Amino acid sequence: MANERTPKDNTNSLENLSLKESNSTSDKTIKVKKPLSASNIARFENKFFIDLSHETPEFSTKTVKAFQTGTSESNLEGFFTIICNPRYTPRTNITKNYIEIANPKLPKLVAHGRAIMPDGTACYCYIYKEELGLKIYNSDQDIARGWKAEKTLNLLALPILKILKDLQQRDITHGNIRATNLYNGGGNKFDSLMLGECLSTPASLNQPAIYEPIERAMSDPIGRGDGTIKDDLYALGVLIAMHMRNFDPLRGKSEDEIISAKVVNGSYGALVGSSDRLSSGLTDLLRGLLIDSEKTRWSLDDVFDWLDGRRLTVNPSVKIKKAPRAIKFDGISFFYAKTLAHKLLQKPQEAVHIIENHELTHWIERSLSNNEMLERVNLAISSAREGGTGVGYWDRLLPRISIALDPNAPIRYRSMSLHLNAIGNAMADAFAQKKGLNNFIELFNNGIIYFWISVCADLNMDINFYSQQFEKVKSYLRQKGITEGIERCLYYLNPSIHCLSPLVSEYFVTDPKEYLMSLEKVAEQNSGNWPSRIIDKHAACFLISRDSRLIEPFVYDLSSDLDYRYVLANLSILAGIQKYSELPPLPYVTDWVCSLLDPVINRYHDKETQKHIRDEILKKKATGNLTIILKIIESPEQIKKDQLSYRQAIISFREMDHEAINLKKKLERPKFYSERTGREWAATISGVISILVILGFIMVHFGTRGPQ
Amino acid sequence: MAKKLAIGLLIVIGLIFLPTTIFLAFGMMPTIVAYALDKTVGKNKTICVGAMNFAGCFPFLLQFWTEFGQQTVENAFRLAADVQTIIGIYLLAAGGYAIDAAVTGITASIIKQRSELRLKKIKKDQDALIKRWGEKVTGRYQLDDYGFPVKPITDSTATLTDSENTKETI
Repeated sequence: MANERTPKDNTNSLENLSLKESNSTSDKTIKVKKPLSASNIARFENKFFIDLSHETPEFSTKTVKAFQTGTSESNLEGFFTIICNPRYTPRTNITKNYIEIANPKLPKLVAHGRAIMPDGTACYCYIYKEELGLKIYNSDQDIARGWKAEKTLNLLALPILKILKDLQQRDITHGNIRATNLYNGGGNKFDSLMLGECLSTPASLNQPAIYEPIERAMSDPIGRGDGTIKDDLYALGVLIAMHMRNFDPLRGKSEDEIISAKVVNGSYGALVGSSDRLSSGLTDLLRGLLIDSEKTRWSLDDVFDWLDGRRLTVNPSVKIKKAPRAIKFDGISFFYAKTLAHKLLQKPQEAVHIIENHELTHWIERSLSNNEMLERVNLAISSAREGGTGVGYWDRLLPRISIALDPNAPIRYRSMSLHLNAIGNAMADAFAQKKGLNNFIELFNNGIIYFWISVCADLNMDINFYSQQFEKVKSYLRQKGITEGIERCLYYLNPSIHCLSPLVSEYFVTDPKEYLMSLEKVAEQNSGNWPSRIIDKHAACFLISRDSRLIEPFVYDLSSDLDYRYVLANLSILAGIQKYSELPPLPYVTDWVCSLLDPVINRYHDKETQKHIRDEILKKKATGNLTIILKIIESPEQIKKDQLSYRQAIISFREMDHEAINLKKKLERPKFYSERTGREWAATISGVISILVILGFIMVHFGTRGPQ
Repeated sequence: MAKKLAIGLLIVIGLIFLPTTIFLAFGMMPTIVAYALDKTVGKNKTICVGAMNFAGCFPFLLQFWTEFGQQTVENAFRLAADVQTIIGIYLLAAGGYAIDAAVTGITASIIKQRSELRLKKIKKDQDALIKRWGEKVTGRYQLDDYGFPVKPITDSTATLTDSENTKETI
């Protein structure tokens, strides 16, 4: 690994080359409208050129920045690019569906993927056609336009509802419906209203708390999850309220105060204010969209039914029970369990104090008179005590109490506050920052999620799905293999995250096919100087999460300490991806893999077979077909033949060994070992001579006495 | 039982042909001595000496049977007491000893040469095996579950020789 080079190094060199080209281009086109320093231009596949010196603040948010973009270095206009923030996972899993939407009120996405920065680093980006025009609002605060119902409906509600209808058809939520994401489309204010982009960050990340229903507003921005179309409708309801109201009752209030106001007065009451008189006509729609309970909030179908003239009943939000007597916590008097639960983890020591001295349970029992909540709290205390009251007790107790007080709220653990389906995004953030991962491990291992599931108040929720999902997560954390651990949890819970393997992280690969293609590029750039390991823990977890069939049979070998098993598993997996993704020849990856095959070839005992295989690989590697290489090296017949011959050779060797030992012994004492043989020979010779002598005598004796 | 029967039969025959028995008892003395001293399996030395010794006795025995007159005990003693006869017989018996010593020595030398040649051939064959199959063909490698060699067994190189030597020492 000492020779390993990061893609960054290589892109640097590539960039240097391309910069030289661009310099020469700029020399030729000396009369360019806006001469630019080439060092400030990022490139997207040499198709789009991103002018990093011209940020377009109207499309930037607090988490991502947008830049002016063009199709050539001399023409850096007509498009804008959102450069994604490495901390936040872009919504790659819905991008394909977004492209299919043909709604002129949404920005047209022309490209997305990897852009190369001038310093050689890579970033994920979304490139849109610049047709949004100007931002209508620069702030989400103090909006109270006092519009009439008809104007609000025509200029604001209907365009956004049509967008939501298109999004719903493709199972997408927008998650960025807010005043500062409204654009004039190049027209006059609302005449050609357009909605800004929604793909570059997780849904609702940039949404101020005011646009989110209470439970989502209470969670960390990264912990809100994708949400549903009803959450978008809620945000639309907030926008409608802002435009119709005559004053802003939440003016100057902090996010926590806005949440409290919503809890106390309900969203409608908090946003409109009791003394405001809205233009009639849209009140039902507004109330329907701002119902706090997602279950009873109007759906898109309800809204269109209402628009078609069907009068729907608005189920008013169930009023959250206010305790007649407040509980004092951190110097503040709390009348609502919901707001107390929200604050509880911010002061753990005081929280444990009011729990341990039964102040909390007495308050629930006597002031709130809520027996169900009391049972939940008692269950929380007893289950937290199962692990003892020593180290970690607070971390088990407080999240449980928070859940018991407000089961619909996000799960709170230490400094985190997130909904279940946002854990993947939050983990990606923790991975990017390289901190806070232990919080997730403890969250799973401390049984907080199981407690949440056990007291879950929402009967419509697919409890089995979550139970199975987190059972799997727990098992991933328990095991230590290459495809287990917190990395596996990340890819399992976050389907949008790209592969974070250091080799390919800058290629933002989101499926096995892209993974292999990016490896081809890495191999090409590092030609002859390849790293010794291809599939690492991140890559293994990514691949098994995206397509388990490709990697599952080789998991054991991937984890093996034996080089040949690891390399063979790599080759099998990559060959599988190439075959099933029907990828073109990959000469560089093939070359790379072939350079690692020595341990696999050396596994064959017969040096002649090894030579034959090496020759075959040398001949075939230019084809770029990994399956062919795999077949050459992993032929069952060849392996069997080699094994049988090898065993025979071992037997022969051993027999010769034994014979040699015996011979050496004979040589050490030749007389001892030759005596018997010698004597046998001597006896035989002696016998023969004696017989000849006897016969001779007989012949002589009787010959002399023959007939005379 | 058969052995006892044979000895009994030999004694009976010896008694029947007593003069011949007496002559042979004197003439075959070197063989008797060789038999007494011979510790080898199969009594090859005795056979070697005995055959030559008997070849030495045979012309006198033939003469005794055909030309010496009556086959009496007295004649048998007389023949056995003849110095020339005894020297002739014993010289041939000594020839038996000589053959035994010479052939044993020559055989040892031949065996040594053959062993050395065979050892060289074994070394050559083993080298060829190692060249083709690698050091692991020596069998001193730890194998994995699939039968593939993993790493050398460091202390086993001397096992064969050692075990054989141990057997011999014991």
